[in-house]
Order: sequence, then structure tokens, then C-alpha cells
Amino acid sequence: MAQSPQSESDSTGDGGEVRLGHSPRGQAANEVVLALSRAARSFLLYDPANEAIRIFLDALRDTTESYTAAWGDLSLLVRPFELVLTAAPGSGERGTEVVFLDRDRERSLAFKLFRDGVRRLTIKRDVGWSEVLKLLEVLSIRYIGVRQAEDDLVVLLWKAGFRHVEIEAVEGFVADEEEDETMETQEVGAAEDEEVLDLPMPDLYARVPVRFAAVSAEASALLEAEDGMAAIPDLCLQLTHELITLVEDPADPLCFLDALPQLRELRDFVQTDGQLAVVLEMARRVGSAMIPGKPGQAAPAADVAAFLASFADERSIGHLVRGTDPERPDLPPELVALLQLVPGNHLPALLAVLEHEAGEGKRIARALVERYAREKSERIVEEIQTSPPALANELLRALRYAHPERAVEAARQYALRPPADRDGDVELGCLRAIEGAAVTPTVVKVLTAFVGSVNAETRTGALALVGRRQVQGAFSVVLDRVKREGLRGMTGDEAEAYGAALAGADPELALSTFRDWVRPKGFFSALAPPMLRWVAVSGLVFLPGTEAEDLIRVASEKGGADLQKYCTDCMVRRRRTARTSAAPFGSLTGKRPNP
Amino acid sequence: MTIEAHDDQQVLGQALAAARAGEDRALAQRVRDAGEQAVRLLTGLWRLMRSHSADNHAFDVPVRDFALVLARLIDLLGPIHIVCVEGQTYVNDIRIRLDERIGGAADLEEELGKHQSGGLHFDEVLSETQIRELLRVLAGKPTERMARNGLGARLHDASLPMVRASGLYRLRLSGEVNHAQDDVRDVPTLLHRAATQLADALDQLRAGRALNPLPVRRLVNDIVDATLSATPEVQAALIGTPVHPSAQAGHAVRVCALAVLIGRELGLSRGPLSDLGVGAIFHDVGYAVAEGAGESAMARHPSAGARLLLRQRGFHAAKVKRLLVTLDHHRSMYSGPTLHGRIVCIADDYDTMTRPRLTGARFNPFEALERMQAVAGERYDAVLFQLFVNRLGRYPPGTVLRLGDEQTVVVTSVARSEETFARPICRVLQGEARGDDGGTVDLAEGGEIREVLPP
Repeated sequence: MAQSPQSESDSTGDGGEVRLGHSPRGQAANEVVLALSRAARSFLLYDPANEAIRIFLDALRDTTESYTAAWGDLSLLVRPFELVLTAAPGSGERGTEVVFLDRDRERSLAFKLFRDGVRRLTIKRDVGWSEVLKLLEVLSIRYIGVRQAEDDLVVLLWKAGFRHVEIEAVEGFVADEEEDETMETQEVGAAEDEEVLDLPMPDLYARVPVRFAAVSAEASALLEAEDGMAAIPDLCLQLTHELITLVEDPADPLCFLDALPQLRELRDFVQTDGQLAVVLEMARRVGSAMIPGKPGQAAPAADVAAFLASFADERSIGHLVRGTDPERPDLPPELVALLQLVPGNHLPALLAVLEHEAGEGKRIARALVERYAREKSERIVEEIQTSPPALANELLRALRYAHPERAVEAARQYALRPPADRDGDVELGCLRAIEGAAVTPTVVKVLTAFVGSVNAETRTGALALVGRRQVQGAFSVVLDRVKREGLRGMTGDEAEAYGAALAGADPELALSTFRDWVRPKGFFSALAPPMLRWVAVSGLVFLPGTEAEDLIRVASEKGGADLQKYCTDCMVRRRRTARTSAAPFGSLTGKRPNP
Repeated sequence: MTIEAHDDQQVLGQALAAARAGEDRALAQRVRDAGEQAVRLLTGLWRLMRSHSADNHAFDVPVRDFALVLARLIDLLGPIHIVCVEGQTYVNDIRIRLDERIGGAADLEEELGKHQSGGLHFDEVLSETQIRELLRVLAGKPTERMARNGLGARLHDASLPMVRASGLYRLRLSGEVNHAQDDVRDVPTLLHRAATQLADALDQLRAGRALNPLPVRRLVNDIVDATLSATPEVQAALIGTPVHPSAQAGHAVRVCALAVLIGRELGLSRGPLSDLGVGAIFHDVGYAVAEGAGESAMARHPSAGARLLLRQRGFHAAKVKRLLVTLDHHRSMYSGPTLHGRIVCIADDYDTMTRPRLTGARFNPFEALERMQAVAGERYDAVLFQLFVNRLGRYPPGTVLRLGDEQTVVVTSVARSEETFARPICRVLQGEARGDDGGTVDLAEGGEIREVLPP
């Protein structure tokens, strides 16, 4: 008789499962079945790749290994809500103990096992992790509520062919013996009296004596490989070919819509399995379908076209980019060929994938968008204007690599928006897009627009570019901006950026301006905000000649302690820059004290 | 995370994704919903009969609803079997979830139990009048003896032959299956069950419904088990026993057993063997809808079969293989049939040449094998055919031999080893009638084969 659980009060808090077992062996068994139950159930809550699943798997592995090492076989009798630890059949041991109890039908491992016909489960002492994992897989399939037409739990367990897990299972139900009506009254074993319909056998006139001949392991292995899981994608392709051939049969065509559900299943499988080459071949076969017209048939060609288009929809591309081998550095040519084969505008699907994918999938999606951008850059330019910021930035990035000129145009269009409607990240993306471009009026327009951005980072970036690229056309805009901002106050970084931008854009004009700010001559010049001296000193770093140095010295003498220190720093930098001839404008990123 | 743990998670993820892909959720859900409704309505109506007459207006709505839901179920599944067993309710093999707080499974089981019945079978749609009549019969007092027979008689008297009360059910006990592994006398029963189940499946297909392969698969698995671990005599019986209820079903079941035997020789494991067996048993499914026996119907049976099997929804590798077998089992080696197609081709031809008929087999198994050997490599895959030969032996089961001592014997075993390839176990046939059991002879222990006799 099974002993009752010690107490239900020491619940794990998991809503029904309780810690059971009063013998050390029972407690160890309880740990195993709780771990098994939790791991199997975890797929209801988590994606299989989730970190939480790994924790459950580790727990299952640890508890199973501990139990089998300490106690040997784990033999469980399955009752509707309980698992009872018993001695393994034939072991000679005695005594039973309830080691699992959960009365919740939706959660209970015991109930699911019992309901599906499992009556005893024995995990043998020599069980390996692979078999425990397989057992978990079968149980998990039942937990996620899948009812398969091909396999029920008992069939799945039977198919698994466990060597160290023994299942005593029942399948289906039978009539009581007295009521058994499965056998007909007809005598079994008698000769059959009907003809069997079948194609006529070919005339086999010749006879050759048969003899035993051992078949080599290699020959068997080759054949066996045709039936392995690795062969399934090819079988899917073969079936696709067969079905399309039936659809094409002019004498008795199979209606395409009747074949369509199966074709979709085949496509989905090979996509999920990451079989790019097979997917491509499948699409080619569908694309080549020559479907005879039938009176009254509703546009089969349109149905075929719609199905072909689905090979490159968001769902399909998502599957394919996720399934791509991460070891492949380049864009898989099969994927490119597939997109070329399937007609239609793939950009929306690509963008959706780009938006939702992460990791390796995103890398492939990016490469696809880049490729698309090379061919249809106008469309990308349009999309940038309407896409959410993150996506717009991805598109800018793709366009920058694929078609730099169009990227500049995209930046120009974006810069036309009112500052308040622009996103800071996209503005930075636009700056990256024009960074290497020739200084054209378009580039000047973008830069001058971004100098007035509401985002400080954009402003700083734009100013740095103005300086570095010596954009003379932007000088007056920057100067106006400095004067306005100077009244309102600016940060040290901004002051430095403005100074560098002015110095880079027009050195002569900049020197004259800085001179006026450091040594004001007129009454009104003397009223200029002191912050302009910070800007001037920053710019003087980059201007040649002794006057620039003199002006820094003058600014230092007239300024407070902070400005004096800043002037000293600038002097050092100026001399270092002169020695190394390093490009000065690109490195203005260090934080400066605020004026 | 370790690479190993990552791999484990990936394996589990793929398995779950494949399982989800294989599910025909729509059908299962419709059956569950309708099944639950049917059981509740039937139980409620039965209860209502305790206090009301079946003519009462209180029955109007639930009776109409029950008629509708029954019609819906029959439309989905064909004949409906509502079965109660050990607190669970099934509609045609699909377990129905019932909320025990509301009542349902236990109540119906209890009411049926009073008639010593475990379920009701509905072969046809019932009218509302017929449902009221059914309720009167069910609510009647059970007869004291042979209660289920009494219920059956009353149903018949009430002109309800389309409703049958089944006996009590129980879940199968462990170790109850696979008798055939041990005793050759159980083989006909196993094959007969498989053929009956196949015939049911074909009826469903003929009626325009989707295939539910699971019940057939369970029996195929029994055949696989028997083939994997049975004695040579049992294996011989599996491939040479006449099977009813129809010759077509018998042929399909034997082709299944033969195919599994070849698969076993090849070294396939249980899962692939099961898929092969199910594919083989449905290889000629196209004849279920063949009109007439004309040449055209015969030529079209592969594509007709594929059309039938296409109705089943949900991806499963077994379904893919099954469809391909249906299409390619008559193809020559040059047109690249699948492995299962090539195996079934061998099994199909062999059974066609040797199957037991009232008029006698076309060839004895010995001769059939020699004729097939002549085209091995052209019509048959040479390696697979050699595996087949190695298993059947020089004198395949069913071959009638005259021995050196003038005894007439029939071969009752497959080959056991290379050494006994041409020395099978035989049953002695005595006298002209060749029907009397005269014991067995193991030619491995001695004896000379003088000649092979005609079938």
C-alpha cells in the first residue's frame, strides 16, 4: 500500500505540486519528478531558447543523475494524480511511496501520463542525458496541448525506442472480453475469394535462382540515409514536384487549391528547417507550373502566383533569415535567388523582418535590405521619410553602403522637416550618410539645417563636419547660431564645436571674427557675451600663424580661472597638432569645462 | 550558456515546432467543441427524462440542438462513437474535456452503466422525433439480465437501428498487446484487426472525410513489434496469412508486413518502420474511390490515392512519405522512386504473385521469388531485393515441398541465418487433402528437398 504524503503544507508554492517522500530515496525521487514536471511545463511559458528553460534542464539533469547514482532505477507507478515510487519490476525490493501529487488536471504530470495511457515509467540506472531529454521532449509535446493525427503520447514513446527508459503504456481502450466484437464470425485464415485490384504485373518469364548474399554495411547505410531526418527536406521537394505535376496533368488535373494546403505545409517545414536550397527549388517548381485552364476554374494562375509570392512574404523571409547558418559570412545566394525569382515588392516584408529580428537574423536582413537598396534606391529614400526612427536609420545605413549618393538625397529630404519633427538618431544617421560625400549645396543644406537641430548631439556632429569638411557655405549660419546661443549660454563641448566649425569653414573670416571677440575694439563689440571668447579660443587652436597664439594669450589674460586653464590646454593642443599635422577637426569630442 | 545546453534547447525547440506543425488544430477543436456539446446535451436530456415526458416542450430546444450537433459530428467524422471509459469520454478516439464540476463524463458513464453499456454508436443523423424515441428507450428500466442486449432489442423495436449500444470498455492493460510475438495463432487476429481498421479508414475516405491514421498506426505498430522480435514462424505467418474482411484489405495488410520485414532487414528503427508500415498499408488507397476495374481506373489509382490522402491537414514526415509511396510504388527504378516506394514495390509484387486465392496462387513463393530475382536491379532496387531474399530464404513461407522421404511439407518460417537460408522449418502436410497437421520438420536438422510443388 502506498504511503500517504507527509503533509501538503510544505507545498513548493507552485500551486499543487508538493514536496513528498519521507525516505531519502523517496525525497530524491520527488526531486526528479518535480524537475521533470516543471521542465515539461516550462514550454507553456517560455520560448525554448529562453534562459529559464536551461535552468529547468540543468535541474532535471542534476536530479536524475543524483538519483540514479545513489539509488539505481527509478520506477514509478502512474495513478490519475499521483506517481508512486515502487521497486523496479524484478528487483526483489518491496514498499511503495507517493512521490508526486498534483490534483490540477491541466498541470499535473501524473494526470497527463495517466490520461494518455502510461501506467508505469521506469528510468533505468544507466540512463543517459539524451534519453532523459527525449522523454522530456515527448512529455513537453503533450504539455503544450498538441494533438497530432499521426502520433499520440503512447506512439511517441514507442517510437522513441528508449533503451534505458521503460514505459508500460496502454493505447486506446478495448471492449471487455465478453463483449469483444472485433472478430467477425467469418473464419480467419481461409483463402481470400476476391480479386485484388491492381495494375497488371509485368510478364516475368525468366527465372534466376536466389541465393544468400550479405549486404555491406555501406550499402545499407546509404539506403538508410534516404529515410533519415536529413532526407525529409528532399522528400518535401519531391512531393512538391509530384503535386505540381498532378496539377499540370491535362487529362485529369488536380485542382491547385486542393493541393495548396499540403504545398504550404511542405514550404513551411523546409523554411523552418532552414533548407534554403530546397526552398529555392520548391519556389522554382511552383513558378514553373503550367496549369491547364479549365472552364469555370477560378483563375488558377492567380492562385499559383499568390502562393509563389508567399515564399517571400514577411513570415517566410523571417524564417529563412533566422535559419541561416551563422557560420556563413556572406549573404546566402539561394536567398538572393529566391527574392529574384519571386515577383513583387519585397521591401515591406524585408523592413518588417528587419524591424523584428535580432542577432543573426538581423544581420542577414540588413544585408538583404542593402542589396535591395542597390537595386531600388528611390524606394528606400521614400521609405526613410515614413519609417519609424529605428527603421529609418537601418535604411539610411543600408543606403549609405549601397548607394551613397541616394543616401545624401535621403538626408536632404529628411532635413527639410521642421526641427521639432526630426528624430535625433535619424539626424545622426543622416550625418553619417553625408560624412564622406563631396561638399555640394545639398550637403551644405543638410548641415546648416542640422546646426539648428533641437538635439545637442546632432548640432555637435553637424558642426564637427562643417569644420572637418571646411564647408565655407555654412560659415554665416554657424556664426548666426553662435551669436544667438552665446546669449543663451552653451556648454563647453558646444563652444568648442562652434569654434572648430568656424575655423574650419572659413579660416580667414574666422580669425577676424575671433579677433573681434578676444580684443573688442568698438563699444558694441565689448558688449559681446564672454562665452564667445571660449568659442574663439576653441577655433584659434586650428588657425595657423602667430596671431592666433597671441589671441589665445590675450584671452587667457582677460578671462577668469576657468578660461585661463582652457587657454593653456588649447595652447598645448595647438602646438601638438602643429607637430603631428594630425587632422584636428575630427577629434573634438572631449568634454570641456562649461564656461 | 554552454554549447551543450544550447543544443539541448535547440533540439527541444525544433521538436515542439514540428509537433505544432503536425497538428490539425482546427479539426481537433471542432470535434472537441461539438463532442462536449453532444455529451452534455445527451446527459442533460437523459436526466430530464426522470421528471418529464419526452413530448414535453422543455425538450424542444435541447433535442433540436442535439440533432444539430450530432449531424455536425457525423459530417466531420462519419459514424460517431461516444465512449465512456474509466471516467473519460471519447468521441471517435478524441478525448473530450468535460468540466467535472458541471458534470458530464461520470454522469453519462453511470447512466450507460445501468444498461451494462459503455458507449453509444450513431451511424446516421437522427431526426428530432428519433431523438425523443431514443430518450424513451434509454430512460426505460434496464432488464435484469443481459441489460445491454435488452437495450439493443428496444432500440431495434423503436426503429432505431442506426443507434447501437456498445459493451463496457476498459483501458488496455500493460503487456496486453503484441501477443503475436509469441504465438503464431495470434497472427490472424492481429492482421484481421488491422484489415478491419483499414476498411474503416477507407470507408471514411470514400465518404469524403480526412484520413485519421492513428488507429491504423497503432495496429501497424503491433505488426512492427511482432516483426522485430517474433519467431521466424510468426514472421512467416505475418506475410502469408489470408485476411478478411476483404481481399483488398488483406493484400494491403500483408504488403505492410512484408514492407516492415524488408525495413527491418535494412536496419530501420521503430519509428521509421512504423511510418513505412503505415505508408505500405495505404499504398493502394486510390482504389477506395476507383470507379470500376477498368484499365483507366487502375492506371489512375496512385494519383487518386494521393488526392484522398491530401485531405489530412498538418505536416508530418510520415504523411509526406505516405503520399510519395502512394504515387511512386509502381514506378520503375529509372524514375527514382523513394526508398519506401521501392520497398513497397517489392512487397506489392510479391504478394500479388503469391497471395492465397480460392483458385490458387499465381505462383508458389519459391517461383515468384526467382522470377522477381530475374528483374532485380531493373524493376527492383537490387540491394533491397537482396535483403528481402535474405530474409525470406530460398524457400519462402508458403512454398510446398516434397522431401526425400516423400513427405509433403509447407514452409512455415522465414530464413533464420545464412546457414539455414535453404533449410526452413516446415509443417508436414499428409495425405491428398494436404490439410492435416502432421507436425513440423526443421530442415536445418536434416532432410533432403526433392522438389518444389505447385501452389
